[in-house]
Amino acid sequence: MLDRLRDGSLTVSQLAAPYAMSLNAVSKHIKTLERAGLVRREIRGREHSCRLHAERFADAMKWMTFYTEFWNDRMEALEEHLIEKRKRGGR
Amino acid sequence: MSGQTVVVRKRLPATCEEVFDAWLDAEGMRRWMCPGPVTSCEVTMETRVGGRFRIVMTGVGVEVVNTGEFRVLNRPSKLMFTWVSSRWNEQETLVTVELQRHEEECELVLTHERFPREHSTEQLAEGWGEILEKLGVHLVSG
Repeated sequence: MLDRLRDGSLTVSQLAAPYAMSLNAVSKHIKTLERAGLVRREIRGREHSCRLHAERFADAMKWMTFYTEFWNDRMEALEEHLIEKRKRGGR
Repeated sequence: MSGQTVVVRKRLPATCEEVFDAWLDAEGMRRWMCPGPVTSCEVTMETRVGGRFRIVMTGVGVEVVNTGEFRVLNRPSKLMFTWVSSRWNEQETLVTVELQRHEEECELVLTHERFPREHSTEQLAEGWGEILEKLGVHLVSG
């Protein structure tokens, strides 16, 4: 969904079109993205249009990429540490 | 509730008790918590719910200070702590570590959540709304 917003703003029904989901379910999903600060919704009359909050999105991607790598590396190191500890402790 | 979330899973060749204890062992943590280019790592912690920890990672020309507070310490299945990093504007985030035994191994699931800054008050209000709504349902059905 976020990917499709990269090219510009779309209405909720345009966003929902390719998915086998109810408009209500899609709207709920958009609300989640809105709460995460990744999407902005603009209301013009009866049309709701969605726009990607590009700066926030880039920051979110940066944070998630950083910590995915950080914790993956830490867990590898934790594994080595536990193996070492068992060797030393003779367990 | 949804901010940004990172989930990392790892099967570890140890008991869940050993894995749990590793998170509360300041001396041992120095060996596994500090990333590659870090030249020195200092860990201090007060291992109780409400206790704080501080992990200082020093590399060439950089120092990153991570601090936080233990929120849940359920040996051997769950730890929860806040995580505030100088690398990310001191913004408070939340880390949950869940441990589950799988035969001879321990499966660790780490969830790191970051909540959107400007929306937090709104979000909190919305969260309360939901709680009150559910409470209302309970009161009606009870």
